[in-house]
Amino acid sequence: MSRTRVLIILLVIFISFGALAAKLFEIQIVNHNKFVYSAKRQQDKPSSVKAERGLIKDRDGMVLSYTRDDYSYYAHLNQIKSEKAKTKVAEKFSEVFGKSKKHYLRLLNSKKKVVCLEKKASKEKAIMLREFIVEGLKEITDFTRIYPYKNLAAHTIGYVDKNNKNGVDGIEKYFDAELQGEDGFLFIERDVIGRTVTINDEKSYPSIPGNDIYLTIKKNYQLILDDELSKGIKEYEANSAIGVMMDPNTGEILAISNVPSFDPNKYNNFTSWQRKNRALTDTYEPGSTIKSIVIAMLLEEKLARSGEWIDTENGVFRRRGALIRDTHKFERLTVRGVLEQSSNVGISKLSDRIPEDTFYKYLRNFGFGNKTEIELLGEASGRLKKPNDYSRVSKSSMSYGYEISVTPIQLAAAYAALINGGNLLRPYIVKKITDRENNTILENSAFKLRSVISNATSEKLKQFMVGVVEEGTGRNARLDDILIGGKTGTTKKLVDGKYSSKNYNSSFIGFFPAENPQLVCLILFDSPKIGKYGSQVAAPVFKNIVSRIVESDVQILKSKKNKETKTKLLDELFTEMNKDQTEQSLLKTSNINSATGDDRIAHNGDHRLPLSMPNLKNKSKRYALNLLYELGLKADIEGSGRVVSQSIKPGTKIKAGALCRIECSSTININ
Amino acid sequence: MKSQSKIDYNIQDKFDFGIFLPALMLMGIGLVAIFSSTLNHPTAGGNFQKQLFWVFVSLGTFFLVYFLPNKTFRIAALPSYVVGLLLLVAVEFSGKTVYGAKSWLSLGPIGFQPSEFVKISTVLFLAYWLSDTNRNINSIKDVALALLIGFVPIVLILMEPDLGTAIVFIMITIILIYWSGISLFGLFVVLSPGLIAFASLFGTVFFITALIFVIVLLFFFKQNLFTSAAVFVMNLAAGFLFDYAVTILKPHQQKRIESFINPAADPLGSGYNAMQAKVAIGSGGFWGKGLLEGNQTQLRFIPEQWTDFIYCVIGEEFGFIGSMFVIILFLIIFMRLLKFTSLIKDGFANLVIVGILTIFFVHFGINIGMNVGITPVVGLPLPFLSYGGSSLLANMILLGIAMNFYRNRKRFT
Repeated sequence: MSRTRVLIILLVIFISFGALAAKLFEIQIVNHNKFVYSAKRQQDKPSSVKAERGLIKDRDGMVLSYTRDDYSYYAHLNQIKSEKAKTKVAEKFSEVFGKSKKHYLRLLNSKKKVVCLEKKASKEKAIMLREFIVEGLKEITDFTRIYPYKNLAAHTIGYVDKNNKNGVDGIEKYFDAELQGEDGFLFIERDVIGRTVTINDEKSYPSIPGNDIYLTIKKNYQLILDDELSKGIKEYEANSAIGVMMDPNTGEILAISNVPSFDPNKYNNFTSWQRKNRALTDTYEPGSTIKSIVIAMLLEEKLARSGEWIDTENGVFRRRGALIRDTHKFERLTVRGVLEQSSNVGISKLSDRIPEDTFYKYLRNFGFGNKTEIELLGEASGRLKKPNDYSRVSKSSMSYGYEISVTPIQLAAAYAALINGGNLLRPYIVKKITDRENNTILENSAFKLRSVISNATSEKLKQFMVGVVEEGTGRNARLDDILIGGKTGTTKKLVDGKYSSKNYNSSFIGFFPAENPQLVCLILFDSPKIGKYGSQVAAPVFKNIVSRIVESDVQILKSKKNKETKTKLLDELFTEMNKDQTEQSLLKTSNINSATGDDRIAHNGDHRLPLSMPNLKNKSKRYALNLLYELGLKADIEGSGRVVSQSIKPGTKIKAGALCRIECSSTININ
Repeated sequence: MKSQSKIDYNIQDKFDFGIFLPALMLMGIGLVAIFSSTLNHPTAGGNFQKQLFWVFVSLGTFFLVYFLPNKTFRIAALPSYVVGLLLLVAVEFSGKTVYGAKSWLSLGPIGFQPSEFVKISTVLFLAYWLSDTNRNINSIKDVALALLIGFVPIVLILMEPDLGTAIVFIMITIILIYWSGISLFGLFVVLSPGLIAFASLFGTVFFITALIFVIVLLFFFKQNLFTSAAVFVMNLAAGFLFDYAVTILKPHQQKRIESFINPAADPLGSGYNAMQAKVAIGSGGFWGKGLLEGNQTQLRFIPEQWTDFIYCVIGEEFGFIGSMFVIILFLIIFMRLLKFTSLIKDGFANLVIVGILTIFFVHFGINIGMNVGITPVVGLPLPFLSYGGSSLLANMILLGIAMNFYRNRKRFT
């Protein structure tokens, strides 16, 4: 009996031993690779690293659009089960975000598998939660595209979709591929609750940040344009306004403004009309602003002389059944006077001298009826009738800006050609594209499409248009100390197929300084209720804009002009009107776009210096750079990743232009 | 030279190194594994030092027990059993709940698990009672009383509820009754309810199949109708009672039973530990990843690894070689204990040694079984290796008792 008992127990022990040994053999030797794979798989979770979207900057490097790292918090409810854990999480979140505990408890008690507790929390909040580690609570970096100046240049910049991934409009869309960059992969070894332990450098490859886009936009001009248009809308009770500013020597767009505008940070709150870049999507009949171009044709084709007298019929003239009226009635005017006083009768009579084909060819050459091919979406080409489609009055109507529709950008480009010596330039809005290391990938420069008029004609037109402002319909745009040229325009709006007697498009397109134009600017008001003419509405707004630009930007004028020098210049201009040799000296331009550090600091006058230095510690390199830039500080950055030290201590008063050294490090903190 | 070997012989004569050295090695391996799994751990960082302390306390206690007079255990059997039960009742009222089981009593700054010590007292008392010459293990009365002695602590422990420890007690009771020389039919009567209960776990089909099996065996034993019917009813009742017992188990324990049946069903829930333990051991391979190199261990994929899942630290970091070494050490201990039963000619001592063997073996089998995925995760520590003072102390006391019997074996005739 005793022997059997021992034997049975021995048997049981050996069977168990055999079973365990066999099982060990199975999992550790036979299926070893399978378990190695399982272990690897759960330890190394590759995670895609979203590429940082490129920045959009103005021509001087002011950041107009950047991406901020926000943090979203998700609770995996199959891991947060106990009431204690839920309460703990709810309490902490309530403390950090200031919402009620109940709110979070309700989320945590929902039936879903994963709930989002907080979407896009700021860095500050994320830091407060950094030490708060609960199994099942996950922090995810969530990017937010930020437009720090809200509606400034909103139509140009555009916006990105809700996921902050794809551009939807504007530059964000047009250059989406450039901006997006390439996502990277991180092979991260994680512990059981998903905290990063180490990163496998061999298998990981970093994301390639998107390229930065420098616009030709000058933030300060854009601001002035936006501001003055808004003021103008209020003052003249207009529906809306459009402004385009261009460098006539290069074709660079310095500002495009559509008021009312929208805030791309919350684009959903705005109508599609508000989001539309009407300066290039909408066309209008240019009215008298086209007259300069007709005069240019006449002079270029030698069909008229500037001093030639035209009978303007005391402002009322019936021809081929159409009644033509002038706002300012004159018995007769010189060709120059026709432009200065904007005589419809005069220009209509003069247009008779131009053959239809020539008339069409010139308008076509000035860019009407064709897209300008600017790097923005939704551009309209306008309507330019072909000679075959002309009625008996078409040419006459077109000569004072009806039966033709243009976009503001087209007209600005045409005027640039008119005053820059006759070269039609392709307008462009992207100055250059650089990668994150600041290597230039693409740089745009002036692109001449064609020569449309001679230098001499251009000079004459410039003088004529100075006359418009000094002595003609554009007097409201006149400034005492700066020579301005320009042309007014007023058209009845087409409402339901009929010309309205209430709604007008009131416009002014001007340039300055006239002796050496640096800027051409179109101002267009839709349906002003107070004053209908371009001369009453758009011209004064233009004047305000010019004086503000001159005040803020010392470089636009070589030296501060006073009344005397301007008078002298004006005299010179008019006496030398027909002397072609002056043109050479007048057209020697110096570019205005040499942005320097000093220039930037001047802009920062808005920021009410002195400010105190913020704490940059733990901020991303990009964030720090932006901030320093905003503060007008020069930055010297070492390393990459998060800021670990800064040379100007937090809290000290900032001197504009001072140098702040910043050290960054990308060491990952396991805790 | 000659005297040297004589001294050696004398020591081996009184003190069995065949048991002591493997146990010492297991404690050493346990310390290394605890060190590896708690290094840099935020809350368990000091566990290595604590365990080291307990190793010394246990060794001291082991020698204390070893040198106790041989009569002590007989004398202490009944009182220790009663005190043990009182402690279990005390746990019911003022115990501390750890991992869903109310099994801890606080004595000042240190907590301990009375069930660990009740194992000792139950073995002693059951052995004492069964070794009484007046007993007839084949009488229904005595079997029932023996079962009662075993089942009182079982019920108290199930109420904690601590399924793993309850299984240990069930096994102690059955094995000691078996060792006392019960007839095959008697053993069948004792074992069949357990079989039925286990079968009911897997569903109605298994339950009915097992019942039919019992009926067939009853015919085979050719007992009278009354006895057969009584056994059958007992079996039936056991099945239903067990079903009921499962329903009163804590959810985490029910889940553990479920996850044993299908471990992949809920890999993040209760099957998680079993899966992760397997992954850790499996990924260790033949040679292992090396000390502190086991990423599953170091990345803490297995919670509380230093307690019930200490074996997978060894499996991962020391591979198949290390894992086999550990189970061979256990095997040596089991063989030596079994050998003791033939060396010691005393019924009480033999029963106690078989009880000790049972305790070690059940812990060993279930713990390593659940680490490699062949038994359910029921929460039993691995003797000598797992972190925990109560368990280590109790195991060393048991070893001390066995060694004490070995030292005094020549007094029995």
